Amino acid sequence: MPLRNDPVLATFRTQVREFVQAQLPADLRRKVLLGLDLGKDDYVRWQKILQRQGWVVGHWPRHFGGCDWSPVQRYIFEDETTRAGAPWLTPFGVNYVGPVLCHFGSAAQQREHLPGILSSDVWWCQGYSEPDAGSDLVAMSTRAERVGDHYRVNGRKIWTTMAQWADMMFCLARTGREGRPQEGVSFLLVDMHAPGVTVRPIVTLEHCHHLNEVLLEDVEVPAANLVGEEGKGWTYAKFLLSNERVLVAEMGRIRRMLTQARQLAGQIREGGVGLLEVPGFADALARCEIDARALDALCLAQLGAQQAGAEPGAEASMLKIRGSELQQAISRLTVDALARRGLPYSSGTVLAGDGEAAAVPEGSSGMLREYLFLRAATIYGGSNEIQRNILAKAVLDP
Amino acid sequence: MTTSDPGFSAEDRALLRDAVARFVARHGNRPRGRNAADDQALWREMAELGLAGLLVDADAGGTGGSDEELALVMELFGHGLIAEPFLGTTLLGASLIAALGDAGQRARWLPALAAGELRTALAHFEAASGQSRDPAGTRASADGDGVVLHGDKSVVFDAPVAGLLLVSACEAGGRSLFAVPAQAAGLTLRPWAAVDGRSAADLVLDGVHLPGPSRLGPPGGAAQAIEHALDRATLAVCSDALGSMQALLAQTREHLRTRRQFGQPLARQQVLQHRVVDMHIAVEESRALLAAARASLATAGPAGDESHAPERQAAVSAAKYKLGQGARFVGEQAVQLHGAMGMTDELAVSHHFKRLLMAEAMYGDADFQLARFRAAGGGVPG
Repeated sequence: MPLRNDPVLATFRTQVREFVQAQLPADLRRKVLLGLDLGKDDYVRWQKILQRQGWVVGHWPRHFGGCDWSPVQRYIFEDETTRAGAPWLTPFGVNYVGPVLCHFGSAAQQREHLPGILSSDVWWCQGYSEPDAGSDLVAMSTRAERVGDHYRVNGRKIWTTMAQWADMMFCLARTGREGRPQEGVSFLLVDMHAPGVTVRPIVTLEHCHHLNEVLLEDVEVPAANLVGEEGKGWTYAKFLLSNERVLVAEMGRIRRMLTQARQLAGQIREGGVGLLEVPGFADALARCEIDARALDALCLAQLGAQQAGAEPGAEASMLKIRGSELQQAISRLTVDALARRGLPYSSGTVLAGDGEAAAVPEGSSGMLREYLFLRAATIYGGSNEIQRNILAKAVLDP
Repeated sequence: MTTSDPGFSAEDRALLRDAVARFVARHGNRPRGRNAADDQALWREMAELGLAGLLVDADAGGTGGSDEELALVMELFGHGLIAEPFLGTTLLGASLIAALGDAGQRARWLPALAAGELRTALAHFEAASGQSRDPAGTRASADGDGVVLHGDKSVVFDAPVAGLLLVSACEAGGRSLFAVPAQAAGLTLRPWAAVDGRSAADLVLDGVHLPGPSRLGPPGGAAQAIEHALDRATLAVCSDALGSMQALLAQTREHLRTRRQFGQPLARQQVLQHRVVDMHIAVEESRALLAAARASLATAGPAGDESHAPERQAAVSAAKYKLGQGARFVGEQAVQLHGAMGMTDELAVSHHFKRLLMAEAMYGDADFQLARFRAAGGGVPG
């Protein structure tokens, strides 16, 4: 496996690891590892630290402010930062709309929007899903009507992550009724502070607020905020998704979760021995570790093929399926351990006054919260059933 | 055995692949010939292709290949259902004689092995200790200027065709390895055929007397080399299974695309599509993990260097565990998705199914590998 043994990549890995050790603030790391609620300021603070090295957008082309990282460098970067307990690098600006603007945006749009992404001073959210268009995104009905020098946008977006903090939303809206449903979709940049935009919180099962519904009522979006051509939005949306590739495996998160599961199991005893000595538990943990090895090997194999010039196909769907299943399996194991203490839970945000019991290992609520949250892992980003449909097309059709 | 030779170029490897693919096309996908003359002819052909001495150094008359080339060959053998006794000689015999033998033993056996004149088998496991790699029932004791062996050995793959059996035995507080001629007095061989047609035997060693130069390596000093050779054999079996899994996936895909029921190809049924996708993922993750494990085997170096042994053991056991699970899933689903046709002896599907059943059992099943993975420290490198 050449990528695993490549000395240049090994040096890069060490460089990222040392940077994180030196620069990741201890209080931020603690919050992440304990699963505490992170505020907007926490995310922005870490991103500004990263940007001192140009690393928030390391995978962007150099002339847009990036470092020209290869896909495998980006994989290593995500792996090393995430496993060490760095906050999630929110993808909406740096991974999603940024690259779309680099490729398809006008010079004026690039001048206007890229600096705010680089500095993390502008928070972006993604307006894709709608109440009647989830997996079947092309069924979306939000409309954008051209009126003079602007579009008038009406519709409802849903499951919009962190919209409550957003300054801007990139949004798919219907500008035409002719042709195939894909052909009438345009890619618009919407000012979240504009009149007619309403953000309603959606509280999820772990008692957190990261999802929202966004109402768009006669919102006036300047025509200058149309990206690329009218009616080509579907193409840009597909390009955007192709940027995620191997990152969907969430390998760094999986490493972090495995480490935490091992630590937790060391603290909880049963029948006079630690959980790591209880065969059922220890076997289940070992199976997760083997699955993690397989997933990492699969990521590196795909990156190797990509580097050798292979056209990317549906194989990222494999990583999404296996990565999400594995995150759920590890967190399920963690909950099995915590269940021995009765699953006390404090969300710390939505419901006030529920303190964490003293007898449970520190971070118990955070791990339980992660388990609850991760039920979404097989649903978001195209549910695993959709991923299997995509793969079936690739495996059975040619 | 050295793996630091200049080794095979990409071109050499392509030539090897073509030659083995042609061999598999000629002899694969049919029951193994039961008659000894046929077997002997087949082995001579394999020796001429350089397969008998694939891992033997070129200066000993071998092909000078590495585990990468072995993996390539095994994958093709698995894909084409070649059941000829192979690993006992090409891998286990060649690697143990090279790692443990003195100059005289190497000169005597390795060129003969590479030429296809000598076939070997490793007799290590014992019924009383099951899959354990530390059997303790066979003992070697001093007997004049040589030793005498007492004990039983079980599941000795390739033994029925072997002229020389490499028998492990407890001695001097450790484990020794002895070269025992198949015709030695006191040795009884009970041959059998495994469910996939592979040949094997159980052995009884009832006072087998051996002269002094029959020991490979120092008294009690063969344990690490045996362990390393078994790890290599484990990965070779995994490659065989990977080839078989790929064949099953391709055959299942073809069946779903051509077989029509309810007025449409089976491939239109979503429940069947998703099953094939899961088979496909099992194949791809097996392939990737196996390549990673082979890299770890190469890093761990030759048999004497044990500093990387725990990670090597973890990597090999992880791969075998995962391949075993994948093999069971792919095998069972291939039969299921072929419907009644999958139950027939006529279709290759049923033969692959039994081959995968065998692969899962060879050199340690899932439970064994999981326990060994844990004992080696487990974890995820990188």
